[in-house]
Amino acid sequence: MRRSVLIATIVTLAATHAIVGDCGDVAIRGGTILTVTRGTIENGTILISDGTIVAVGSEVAVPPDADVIDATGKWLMPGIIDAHAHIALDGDINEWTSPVTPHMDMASAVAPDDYAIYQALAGGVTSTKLMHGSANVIGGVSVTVKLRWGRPLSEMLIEGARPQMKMALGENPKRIHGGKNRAPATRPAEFATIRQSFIDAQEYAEKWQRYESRVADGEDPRRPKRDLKLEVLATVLDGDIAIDCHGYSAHELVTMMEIADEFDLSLAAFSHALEAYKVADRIADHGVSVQTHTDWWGYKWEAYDAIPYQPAMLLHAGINTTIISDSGDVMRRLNREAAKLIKYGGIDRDAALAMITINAARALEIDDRTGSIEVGKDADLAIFDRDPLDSFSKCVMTLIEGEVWFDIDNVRTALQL
Amino acid sequence: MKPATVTIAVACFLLMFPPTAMAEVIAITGGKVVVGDGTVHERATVVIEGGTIAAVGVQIPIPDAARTVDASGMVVWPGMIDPFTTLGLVEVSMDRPTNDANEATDTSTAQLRASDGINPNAEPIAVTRIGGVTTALVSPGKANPINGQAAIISLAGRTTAEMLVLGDAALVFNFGSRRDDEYPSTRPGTVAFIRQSLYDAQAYQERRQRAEDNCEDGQNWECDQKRDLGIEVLLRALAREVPVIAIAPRSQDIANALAVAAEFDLRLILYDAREVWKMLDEVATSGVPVLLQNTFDMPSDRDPYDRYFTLAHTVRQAGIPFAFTTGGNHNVRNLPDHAAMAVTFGLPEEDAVRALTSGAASILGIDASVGTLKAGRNADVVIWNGNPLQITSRVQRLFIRGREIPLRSRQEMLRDRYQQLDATP
Repeated sequence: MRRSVLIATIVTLAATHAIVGDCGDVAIRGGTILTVTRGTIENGTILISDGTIVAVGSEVAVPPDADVIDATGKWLMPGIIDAHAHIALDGDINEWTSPVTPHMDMASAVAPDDYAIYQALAGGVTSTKLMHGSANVIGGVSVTVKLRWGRPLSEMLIEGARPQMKMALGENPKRIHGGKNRAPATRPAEFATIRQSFIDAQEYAEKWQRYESRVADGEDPRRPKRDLKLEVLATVLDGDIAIDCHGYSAHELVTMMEIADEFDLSLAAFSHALEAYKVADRIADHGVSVQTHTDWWGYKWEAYDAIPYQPAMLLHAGINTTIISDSGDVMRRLNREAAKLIKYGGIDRDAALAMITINAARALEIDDRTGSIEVGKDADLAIFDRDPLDSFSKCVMTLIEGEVWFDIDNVRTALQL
Repeated sequence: MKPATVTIAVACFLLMFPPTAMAEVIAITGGKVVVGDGTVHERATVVIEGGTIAAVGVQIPIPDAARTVDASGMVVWPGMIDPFTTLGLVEVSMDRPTNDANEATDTSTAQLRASDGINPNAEPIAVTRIGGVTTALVSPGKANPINGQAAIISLAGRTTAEMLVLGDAALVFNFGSRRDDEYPSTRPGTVAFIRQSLYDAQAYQERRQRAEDNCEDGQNWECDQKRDLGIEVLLRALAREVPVIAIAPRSQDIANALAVAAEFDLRLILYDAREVWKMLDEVATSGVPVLLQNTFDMPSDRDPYDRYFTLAHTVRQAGIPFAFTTGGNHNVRNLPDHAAMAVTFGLPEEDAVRALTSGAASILGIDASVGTLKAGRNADVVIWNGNPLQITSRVQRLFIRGREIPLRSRQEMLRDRYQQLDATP
């Protein structure tokens, strides 16, 4: 009953997700708009055309033929972005049979009908990165997607997003591989494995360069054997694949930055990085994003020094910081994680919201098209019944490029996909 | 112990509990006092004396000797209660040497007492209390069909003995547990094992009684009865001296727990009964309370996305007594967020407050000492800068059994240390 009262205003929406934005413009009117990057607009309007935001403000003229969503009393924020998730992979998260598996393409695992996608939509999430796990020092290539639940992966992929290689340091690879009495059983072996792998990839790339230059010179050299693993690693060396490196201890993060320098790797982000606050200045200098948690700690030794003040400390150090879920559960309530940052670091509201939107978009290099409510960006939006940083707020509608993918007045189970 | 170590230990102790705070008279004035039973006093005073609450009200005299704590504009709550944790038993979960939960070496470990393993200096305890949770039930774990005796502790103190609210608070059964390669490896096996254990306990008691009746000055075979610690614990449950907390995740586990409790006349409390929504009539009729650890569980493919967000409201509407629990260790401090989520999905806020305080206390049978801000209760008083159900609210002052506790754990020390490093390059 409470639900129907709250949502009574949004009655123009029909049963399926694709009814708005198909033919003409959509206007969302009357809500409080949290743009995240350009302040808050009371009683504002967002005008959407072909899935793109074409106007935002308090004085936006709505074309007479536009579909109108009345958001009076509601709060609009950019669709939430989770830069680190393992949902919808049908359990195929870790190819733990070897510590170096860069040729694992996580696209081959994605199950678009996974109910966890819908549950994330119900928490206001619109984009995420689906990743290999942390069993291997070099894991596999992630896919960056919009949560078009039930659609083929090709329709979920965010075009132009640079792929990212999942790497992992510390206790997990040690436990997985060391536990089977093979390397790496220690951090030095982890780093030696990483360095040897990139050296192999360098030699492989050089071999191909030599081959190609000899062909160019009109010679007929023997063609080198293709090696999928080294080919992918060579792409990492080229910078066409960025790196998202799982790590916890401050010292391993520092060593990884040294290795990134040694091989000129494009180290985009550290994931978890619960001790990043101890070396925040180094990480800031290196320009690496930190994708972390608010209050997780103590589940293993390398998480023992984790403190909930870290995200605020990293922000103050000038690091692009984002809160990740790493879990289908937490993914449904990232707005509540953002609220914790106000409690623990006293950061301001926009900075807290940025941690689950634009900062994540920056870490994924998709901030030119999503992560904030701005003209020219995709209309990826989450609508809440009250301030999303209020603990009694809930998401009532989620839109991806102007299409409704979650509507609390028309909820579905996985059996109704 | 080396002298230096002693000095540091004493210094730490004094820092935590300054001697002047021991039997202090404190008046917390001007705050919005949330009693925990549904009553709220605006601009009221809480008087603490000798570790207990002496008086609560709007127009009450402030003793001359009192130290006054101004709580104007603040919210004064009882310390919250988490009725199922492993606090004090676990420092780092995945590090076995520092993890004393789950003695998974036998099917029944009824003889274990959680209180024997609680480390008062475990860091998760300090982290928890400065989040406003001041009382916790500590379970020896949940790995076995029969796990042992839980204790309830107050989350401040130097020894477990001085922290104890209730030493043998409950016996913990797990109807959902199964062993890999040995009996019982199925649910029927687990239920049969638990029932047989209780029969064995009854038989043991009869034997002991016969021995007592017939033993002639230690001279005949009747005198030769060995005592069994584990069985004697089961006898306390059979005598209804101790409740049984039954872990019962699936609906059939709930049915099994209710049936066994009825057969043996046990005082039952359900925990992790995530499918209680399928069994509302049965559970409501039995009068058995439920400890809800499931607010953030993920629903199955055929359930609505908010199945577990609404679970507390569903249980409340069925008239089943309930409390929230994290079932956790390191983030017991997030207990109020479980309740806030339930409020978001329909539970009246007043019921959420009660479940976090007096409701949990009364399920655990400790409502005479904790769970409400009433005269005579332990002075577990928390001053907040806003509604504790709001994640953004912070604890401002903390009193446990009348002693003011500094709002610091190792996490604040680490924060300050590395902030200082930043300031001095």
